[in-house]
Amino acid sequence: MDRRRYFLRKIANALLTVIIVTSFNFMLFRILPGDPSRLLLPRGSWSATIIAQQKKVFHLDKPLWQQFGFYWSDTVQLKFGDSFKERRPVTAVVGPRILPTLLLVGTGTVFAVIIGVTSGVLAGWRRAGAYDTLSTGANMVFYAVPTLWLGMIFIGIFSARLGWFPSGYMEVAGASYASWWEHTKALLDHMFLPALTFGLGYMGQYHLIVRSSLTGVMKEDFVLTARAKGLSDNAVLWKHVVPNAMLPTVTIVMMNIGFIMSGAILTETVFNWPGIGLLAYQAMQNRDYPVMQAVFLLMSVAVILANFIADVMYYYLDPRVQG
Amino acid sequence: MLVLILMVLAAFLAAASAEAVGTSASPTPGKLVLRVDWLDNVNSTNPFAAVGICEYQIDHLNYDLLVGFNATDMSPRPELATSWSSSSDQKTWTFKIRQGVKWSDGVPLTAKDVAFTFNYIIKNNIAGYLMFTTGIKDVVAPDDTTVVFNCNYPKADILRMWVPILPEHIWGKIKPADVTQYANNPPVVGSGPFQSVKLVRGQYIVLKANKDYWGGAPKVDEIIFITASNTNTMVDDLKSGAVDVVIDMRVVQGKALDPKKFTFQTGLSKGFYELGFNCSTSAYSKGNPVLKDWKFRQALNYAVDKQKILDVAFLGQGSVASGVIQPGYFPKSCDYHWQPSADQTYPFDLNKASEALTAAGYPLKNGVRVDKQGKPITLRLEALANMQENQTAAKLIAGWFGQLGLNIQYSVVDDGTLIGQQYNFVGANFTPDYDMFMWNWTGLGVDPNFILSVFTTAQVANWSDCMYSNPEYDKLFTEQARTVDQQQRKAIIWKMQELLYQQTPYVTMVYAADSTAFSNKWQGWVASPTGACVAYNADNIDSWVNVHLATAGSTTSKSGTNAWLIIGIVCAVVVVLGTATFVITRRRRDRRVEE
Repeated sequence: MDRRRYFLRKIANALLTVIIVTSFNFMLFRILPGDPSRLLLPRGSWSATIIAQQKKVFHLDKPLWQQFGFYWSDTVQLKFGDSFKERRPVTAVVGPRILPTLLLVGTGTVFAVIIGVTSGVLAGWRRAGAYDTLSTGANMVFYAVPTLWLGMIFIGIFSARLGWFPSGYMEVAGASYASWWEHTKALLDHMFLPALTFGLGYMGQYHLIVRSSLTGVMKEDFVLTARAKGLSDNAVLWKHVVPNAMLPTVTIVMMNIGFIMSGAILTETVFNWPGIGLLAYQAMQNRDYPVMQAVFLLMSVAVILANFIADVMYYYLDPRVQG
Repeated sequence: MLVLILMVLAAFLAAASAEAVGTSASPTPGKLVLRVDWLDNVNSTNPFAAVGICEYQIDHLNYDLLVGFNATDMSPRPELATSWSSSSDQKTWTFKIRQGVKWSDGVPLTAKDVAFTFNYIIKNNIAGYLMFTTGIKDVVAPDDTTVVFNCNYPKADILRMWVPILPEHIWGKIKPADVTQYANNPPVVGSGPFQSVKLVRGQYIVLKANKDYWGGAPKVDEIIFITASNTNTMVDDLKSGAVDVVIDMRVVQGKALDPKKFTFQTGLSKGFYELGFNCSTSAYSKGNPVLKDWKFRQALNYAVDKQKILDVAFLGQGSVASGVIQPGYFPKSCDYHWQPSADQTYPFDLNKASEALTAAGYPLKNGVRVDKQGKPITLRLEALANMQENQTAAKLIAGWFGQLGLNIQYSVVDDGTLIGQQYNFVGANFTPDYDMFMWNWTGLGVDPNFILSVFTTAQVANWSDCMYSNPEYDKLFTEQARTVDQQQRKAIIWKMQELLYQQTPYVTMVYAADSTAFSNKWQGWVASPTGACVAYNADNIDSWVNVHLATAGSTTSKSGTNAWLIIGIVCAVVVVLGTATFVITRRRRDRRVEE
């Protein structure tokens, strides 16, 4: 397919999905039970004048189609209002949380991809061998174990009992570091357990998928042909089998990266890691609707963006798309 | 290639083991730091934006009050005011201000700051503090050490105003309309024993000791309040020594701590949990009309087993409640808390409840309780989604009331929804649309004025959530607000609580209890009041000023980061495995080629 047409179609799809999701977000306040202007006010008693004022701020006194217009213009300008709990702009609340989540999930994902995929390839290549049996068994356990439980076990063993790692948070509260290097070391120290907890589940998943995908590809005729040509095992594996087996893996990896913002909620809550996941959990507890709305939008856009990148990658990975 | 890998690995491990015994990322050695874990979150260091007890506590550490509270019984004691006197009609109060006090930026504190703070609140209607300043006409500072309060009537609670005194040279520049939005970023300028120097919202706040504090320098150098998301992490951190104090945890966790190393306390707290009714007499009220009849509400008292609610819903943490003013926060000589006599107290007795309902004109008809028109009585009961204890209590109550023949419709709602129902206006008509609800009051001031005001007619559609309106009660309220003599005031306040106990706009269920645990390494704690926990009171902060290590020395943090060692080992394992696999594969392939 013509490259330009392919990409334009994918971009159009992504934009359309964003529009639909954002519009649904608009309905969020309006379909919840209770007067929306009440929901948009923090807890406490408020006089009728303040409610009327609040209605004006959120344009609730105007007809629905006008509200929709205001909502769109506000969203595009990244005006999400003020957080109920923190009484300051939502962008100031959500902004600083993005990087910690990216750090945590990024590290965990890189670890999971490298180890999981390599392990899956090796297991699939020598199926039913010693490595395969051991590693697949172990990875199935990692995949099945709940993140919450795993995190608490790690804290219990490595933090509370052995004292090797801190029990959570991103830094020692109130600490000041002598140098950039000291700060980075402390960050890694705090990030190790959460990233490990987060990554192990995905590592198991990637191992299993790559392994089964590899098995499927190995049965293909072109593999036999490659062998017949006299290519070494290594060449057959890495030059022919793996590239073809990678497509489902790319799909899964990109999907998981899309959930980068939401996927870490459990890990962040267990480890008190100050990221988007913990913010979403706390906002839900506090019924902080402006923050919830912004986070919801952020998570949706992340998923859509990741899927778009996956589409771009397919174009280059899978020759059938280009043809 | 393999040799290269092994060399790199060796270097890595060498570096890692060196790091393993290195220094941690803790602050300067020799500094005494107290670390406190709590579930709260400080959102603002601006006293005008404070909404939670944690923020009030931080504010009292940064700022002083005019008149403070004694630790043992919360009676008034000098703070920024060293002495006070009133005119004979008790409408004019003169306070002498402590001399030589400085703000943390060096500017001297004078009576003018006191006058400024109160006038600012009164003139600009600053919502959070109006409850303390009602009745004050204006405040004048004739000189640097004298402040005069001119009141419209003898103000009963003038010695119990929780108003932090703010520096005029900073707050005078803020526009009143913007004052709640003003960030008041650290470092905060205050006169208190500590100064907030770093706030990371959602994570922690660091307070530095004010060594020039007029009440004596605090014995610690720094306090760090850390926000945790669950009690398990907090208790783990306490046990591992990462924190020294934990505020709020479950009794089960506290009792499991080793008493040789840690002290666990539960104690009094201000506030109560209640079952509330829609008592509104508005013609438009959508509440069930039977609730307008106080005899109906009173009969229901016999159908609430408060002890069982305390045991089951609150796991025994707290005590059974009666009056709306909690015990323990007043001098024994003049305790505003009213306790019903033995024959006044409502026992849990469903038969009595049934008889009382029938006597009030609500008989049983074929097992169903009917109202005066013969219609079956249906009542909605709502509990909040984020209050687990109230939900459990509500289910118990629904069961008991059901046995009386009442049809109870129980639901769990968001507080936004409930508030919307309570303050419902259809056009200009006040139309409260609810029947019964479960909620609580916390963080009340020591002076009972506020909680008593909730039941006045003036607070309907404002602070009242039960819409109770009784002219006799209103008269008593006005009277107690203007009775400075404590014993006389107590008599009136007791009468008011008795009236509420009879007319039942609320069934008060439980007085809450706080819990705290701290490491025995620290001592010098001061419980305020006696019987309360040592570490969670915004009225009296002596604990924080006085706390110190039991044995002299500085706080040592945990030893260095072993992370590098671990990472090094993991990488080594991976590399070894990978190399082994590679080598084995190659050998097999070579063998095949030879065949």
